[in-house]
Amino acid sequence: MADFLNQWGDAIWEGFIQTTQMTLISLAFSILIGLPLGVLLVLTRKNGQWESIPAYTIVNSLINVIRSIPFIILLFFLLPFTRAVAGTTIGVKGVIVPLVVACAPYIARLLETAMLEVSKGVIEAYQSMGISTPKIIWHVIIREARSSIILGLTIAIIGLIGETAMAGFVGAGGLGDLAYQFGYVRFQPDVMYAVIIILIIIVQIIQSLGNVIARKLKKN
Amino acid sequence: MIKLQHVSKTFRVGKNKIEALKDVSLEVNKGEIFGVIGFSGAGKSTLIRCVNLLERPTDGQVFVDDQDVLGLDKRGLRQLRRKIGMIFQGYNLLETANVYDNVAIPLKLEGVPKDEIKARTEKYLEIVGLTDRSKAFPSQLSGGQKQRVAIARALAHEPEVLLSDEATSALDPNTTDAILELLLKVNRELGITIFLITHELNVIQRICDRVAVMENGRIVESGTVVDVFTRPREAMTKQFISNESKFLIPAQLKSELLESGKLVKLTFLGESSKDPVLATLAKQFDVLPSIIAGGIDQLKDQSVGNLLVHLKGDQNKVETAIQFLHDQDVLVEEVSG
Repeated sequence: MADFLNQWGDAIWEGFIQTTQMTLISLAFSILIGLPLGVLLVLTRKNGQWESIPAYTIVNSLINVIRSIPFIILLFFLLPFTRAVAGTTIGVKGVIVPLVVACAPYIARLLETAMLEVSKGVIEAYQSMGISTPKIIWHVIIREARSSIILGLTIAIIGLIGETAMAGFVGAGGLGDLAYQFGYVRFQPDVMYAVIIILIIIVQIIQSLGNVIARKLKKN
Repeated sequence: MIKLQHVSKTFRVGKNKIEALKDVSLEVNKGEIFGVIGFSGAGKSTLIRCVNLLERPTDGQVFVDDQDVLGLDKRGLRQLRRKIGMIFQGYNLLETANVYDNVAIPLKLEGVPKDEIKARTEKYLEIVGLTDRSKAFPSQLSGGQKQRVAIARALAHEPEVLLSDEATSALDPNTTDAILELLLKVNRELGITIFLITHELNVIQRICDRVAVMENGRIVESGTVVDVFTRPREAMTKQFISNESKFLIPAQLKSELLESGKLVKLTFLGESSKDPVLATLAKQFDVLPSIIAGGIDQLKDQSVGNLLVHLKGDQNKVETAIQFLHDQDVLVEEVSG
């Protein structure tokens, strides 16, 4: 055990940091893009406050198209775009763009579903009080949906961690890459086992945390 | 206070057109409680939603406080809506906020100063009797309590008008009474005009000053509650009232009674209920009245007595007796087989 830690501790720690970096940075950007997209979907759909069939159809199809492409393919497909946006296609920096492109539509969809659950009646009550749509979105719709939103984001984070495993293909490192490079390519299964155990623990912690926060926010 | 002129509303569902409102005109006076009654699907809900434009009329004009509502821009409409409180059958509270915040949050969103928010929230929670539940969440409240929160929320904007969209329809009879009591208090003590829609006759009877009866998107009859209830003209109105106050007697008994005399339904209002008219019939006209059934309806400001009476005697004498009843301001309606 001590030997193993001596030999692999630093590599695993580095992988953990890289995975955390990739996940958190892409999560932040994905929320920044996904939240407005989700709101747009809710508002522009039929009978929404800003009903617009063209806008809804465009956003809706775009999300479906992106979500149809497996991440590993998206990663290569987006190389020119990634270079244009991030200035590089390798390392942690190079993997953030494809991660965001994959995750933002997913988050938009999760948020849309969460927000559609909010009762039409409450929204109407606030309209009847003369409160503007932007305020209703934030203080009524997102507030009432916040518990489901947190649960959705929990799913999105766990999905992101899975996708970062493929970041190794562009040299971004991370736990998944470590397991693949050493555990599979160089026949050192103990490294792979260690990484798997760490990933299981991380996912468990995130899911439990998500559940606790969601329950707290629900308050009923 | 509220004036609807020739308001129509047509919904399109696929290729079908549904006319929810057909040329509806009505006026709600300042300070009164005006009720619209009708069975479900009559268009009441669409009607009340046209007042604050939750539903935009296809045709016609809407005035609130002499302001042409349909001519307002977005900003103007928001300003106007703040003067119009609204409560709903489904309460429509924030599930994630406690009682206090449910009242305070809309005020905050409107930009009311902090101290004022606190003062108003406390004041109106006190009025609806929920001060001690201010930390509770809606899921911990009963239906009646939730409606009280909704009323406090509406009142906190200090509106001139309160719209009530079937506010008591989801409540049990006792709770309904308590909420109606509260609405009466709101009307009398705060001087707020109330425009309500309902399918419950007892709501109209208990608190309304005037009433309109709706059927298939039209107003078929309107007037003061006492008039409409004691002298209903339209079949629709009679149907509503008869569901409550027709005395159902077995057909067998009815035909026996009709053979031996006349069966009349007498309605006593105000003054006419104090004189002993039935005794007079026996004494003065030699007609023998016997009471088959009876009851009293409590309206907002007066009570209405109903009696089903069998009049036995010489046919001419019975006719004179009925004439006498008319003269005494008793409403007489003959019941036939």
